[in-house]
Amino acid sequence: MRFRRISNVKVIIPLILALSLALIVACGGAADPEDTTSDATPTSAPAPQATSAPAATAAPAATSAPAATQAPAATTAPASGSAPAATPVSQPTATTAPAPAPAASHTPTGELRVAMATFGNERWLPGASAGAEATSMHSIFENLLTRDPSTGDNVGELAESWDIRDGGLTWEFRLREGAQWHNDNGMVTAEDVQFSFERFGSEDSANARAHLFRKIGGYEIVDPQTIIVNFKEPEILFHGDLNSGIPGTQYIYPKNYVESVGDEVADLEPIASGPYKMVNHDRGVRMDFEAVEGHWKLTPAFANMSFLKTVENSTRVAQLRAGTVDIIGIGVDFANELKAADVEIKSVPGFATVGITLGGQWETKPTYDPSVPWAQADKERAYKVRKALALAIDKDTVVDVALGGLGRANVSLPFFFQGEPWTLDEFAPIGYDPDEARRLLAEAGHDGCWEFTINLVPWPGRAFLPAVGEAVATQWEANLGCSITRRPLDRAVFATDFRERTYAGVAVPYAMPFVGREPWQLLRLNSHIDGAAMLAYEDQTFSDYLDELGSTADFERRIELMQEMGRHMYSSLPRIELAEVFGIFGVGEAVKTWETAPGNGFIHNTSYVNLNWAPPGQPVTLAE
Amino acid sequence: MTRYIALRFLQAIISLLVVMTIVFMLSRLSGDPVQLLADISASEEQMEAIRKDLGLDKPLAVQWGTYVRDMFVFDLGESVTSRQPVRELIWQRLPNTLQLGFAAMAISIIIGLPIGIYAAVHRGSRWDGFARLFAVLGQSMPSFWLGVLLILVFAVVLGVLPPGGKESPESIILPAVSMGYLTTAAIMRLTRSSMLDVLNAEYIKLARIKGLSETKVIWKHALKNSLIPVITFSVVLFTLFLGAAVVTETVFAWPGLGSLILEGVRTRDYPLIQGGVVVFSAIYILANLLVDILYGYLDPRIRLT
Repeated sequence: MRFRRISNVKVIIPLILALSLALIVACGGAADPEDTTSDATPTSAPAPQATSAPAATAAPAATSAPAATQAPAATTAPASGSAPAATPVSQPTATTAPAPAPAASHTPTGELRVAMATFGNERWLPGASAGAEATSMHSIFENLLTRDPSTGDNVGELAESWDIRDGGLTWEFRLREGAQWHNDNGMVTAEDVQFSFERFGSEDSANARAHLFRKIGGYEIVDPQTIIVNFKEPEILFHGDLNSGIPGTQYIYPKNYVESVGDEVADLEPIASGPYKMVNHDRGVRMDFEAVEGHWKLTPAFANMSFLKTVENSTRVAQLRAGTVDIIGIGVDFANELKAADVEIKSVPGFATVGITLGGQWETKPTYDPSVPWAQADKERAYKVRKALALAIDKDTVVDVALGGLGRANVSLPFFFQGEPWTLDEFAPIGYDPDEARRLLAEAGHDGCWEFTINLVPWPGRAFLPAVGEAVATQWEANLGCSITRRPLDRAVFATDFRERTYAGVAVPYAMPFVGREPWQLLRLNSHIDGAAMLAYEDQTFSDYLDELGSTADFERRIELMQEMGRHMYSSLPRIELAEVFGIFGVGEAVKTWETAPGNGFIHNTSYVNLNWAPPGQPVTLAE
Repeated sequence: MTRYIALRFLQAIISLLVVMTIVFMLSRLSGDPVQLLADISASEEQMEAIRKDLGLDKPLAVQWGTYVRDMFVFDLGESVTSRQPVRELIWQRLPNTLQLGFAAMAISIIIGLPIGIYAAVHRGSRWDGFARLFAVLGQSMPSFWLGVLLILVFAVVLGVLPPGGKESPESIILPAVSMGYLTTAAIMRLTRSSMLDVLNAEYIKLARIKGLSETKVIWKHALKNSLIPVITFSVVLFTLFLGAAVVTETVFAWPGLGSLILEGVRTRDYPLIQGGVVVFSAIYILANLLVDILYGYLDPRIRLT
């Protein structure tokens, strides 16, 4: 009898096990809290007026400590003590003598430990990384440009200077002398740049900006440190796509190394040029890095750095509180928990702007639905409905409730932040006025509100979106008497709706992530009338502005165009913009200073932790 | 006996085939995988290329046939994200899951067995009540919640154990306790009831009548017989750890097969998910096959049923 019971258990348990796991598969997983690149494939970036980097030769700042004599990069890479042995990095032959190392103001000591939710796909070939790898790649690789943390302006990293000619058809980059590949793999040269660009644009490239590199018509290597890139059509913000200060995975790779060891080895054992080099990689578990003393750009404050993969948010918070890590990547949905635990929060303004997209408005699309009040054929009435919905939301409350206070209700249009030259006074945030909202609704022919659905989709890197949707729905119900169905959905399921535009009459909270300083850069990706998906705006006039902006090299003219485009958007109000969202990180006591680029919500610039930031090429000193 | 083993083996193969089919079908029923894998702004051409790359452009029956054939030769395909062979990825992580499973099992037996014996011997006492409360708590408390609680107390407040990862020998304690508590309670309950059954048996009464000491009655005569179902059930419980590992390993950042599968779910890595689930199921079915064979060997009556 007992055997029979056990036998039954044995039938039931595997079925439950299989069904449970299969259901997990069927339902999809939790949103990736750090990957914000999956819907926005950035194509370009900021501050285009500057065409050359600051002088890199000056060395004005006195160092606070005696200069230490430092040797060139070590050629061996011992694994750090406690790390499990995994993939040791190989040491190929040197091709060029290293340049003299600059004097450092300090000797790196101790270990910096960083916990994050994802490492991405952990591949190290040019073109093999799609987006979520930005954090782990940033720790060892370098790019042609980076951004000044205080201003957001472009400054040269591997590129000493750059020049744009022929309205964006020609770009010339002059590389710095002295930038070396790790483990004596020679100097960074123009050939490495060409090799990297070609791989980014290759047919099998997974790089999110592969399409951009496919627009390159040819290269001219002027000398080992100078490369000219010729485009088939104008590309006015190319330097923004080669920028360590923008989330992305376009870094410069060593041609000789990859070609000598082959793709298979290079894909597992990266050689890069940054201030840290990888010495251990336990796939999906941890990465260990060692400071490159005498690096041309800076000497890190920490001798070692480890990246630990901890998927669960609350465990990362616990790791930080227990002092076993020093930095964690986290989303604003955890802001209140961090505050309650008295954890220090480092916030990055301009990470995203969150708003409500109202589906079914676009007349040129088959999914246009004039029966939806906010999309009705009478444009004046439809506008009043949308304005009423906007006025019925207390945006400050949304920021407090859904974003843990780590945002600002200061936008009426995506990335039209106050103070930017393209943001006119007339684009003021739409206030909170329920009486006016009800009046407008009545004028639009609605005595009361109606029944509709709001989607609650935790988009990757933006797990706060369901909370935003809930806060907005509650206010619409309270202030306008709407009857709203909350529909929780996995992002992957809703992606189909986004592509096919099949969400007429549905309100969709969506946060647009930072991909570059100028607002049109993102909108060109996700709101063009000919685009693959519709996330915000989609009319011909708007798309004409985007097209013109994309081919206008003159920054002043682009400002004018953005102002005109802003007027068009503001006067029609197709999407209700609510607030600017901050990117946040939790930091421990070991982190005294950490300069990060505005808008970049990925963990980056970790080599600058506890250092005073200075443009690459200028002395970087230890923070007091 | 040979016929019995052959029959059980055949049943195991069929069970595995059913599990594989369920996983295959459900992963397709959740929608077009390409819609999930492709970037939101991917064009139709890019999506078609992914579809072709994954063999999803072929008829479903062909896909299923290829999938089953590959699985039986342990060709689990290539991870969509890392481009590493799934077999290798699983092989790297499986030892950690087994290590955690054995540790949890050890905790369950070391704690559950003595408490169960003590509760049975002192049936109705205050300690028996505590033991039953312990069991109820253990079986009603979700392991992920217990995990978070353990992290909070032992890592954050007391600072005596690491909150996650696998960096030192003590890293295994919290995840093993979290996972083992559920089965500790189950083993305790089973030991208690089994022990009570045996203690009421005629031969135990006879032993007592013969004047054997209570210690000898319990430890020599009662315990041995009452342990048979406990040990057998422990094998079944061990396989349960594999399922529990998905959550526990994620909460504790333990680099095992469970967290690998969850990562596959998160990144829509279908070959990884399918491979991981099938390996879990195969281990489960294999363990039960061994138990069946063992039963048949120990008790001839079972072979005849």
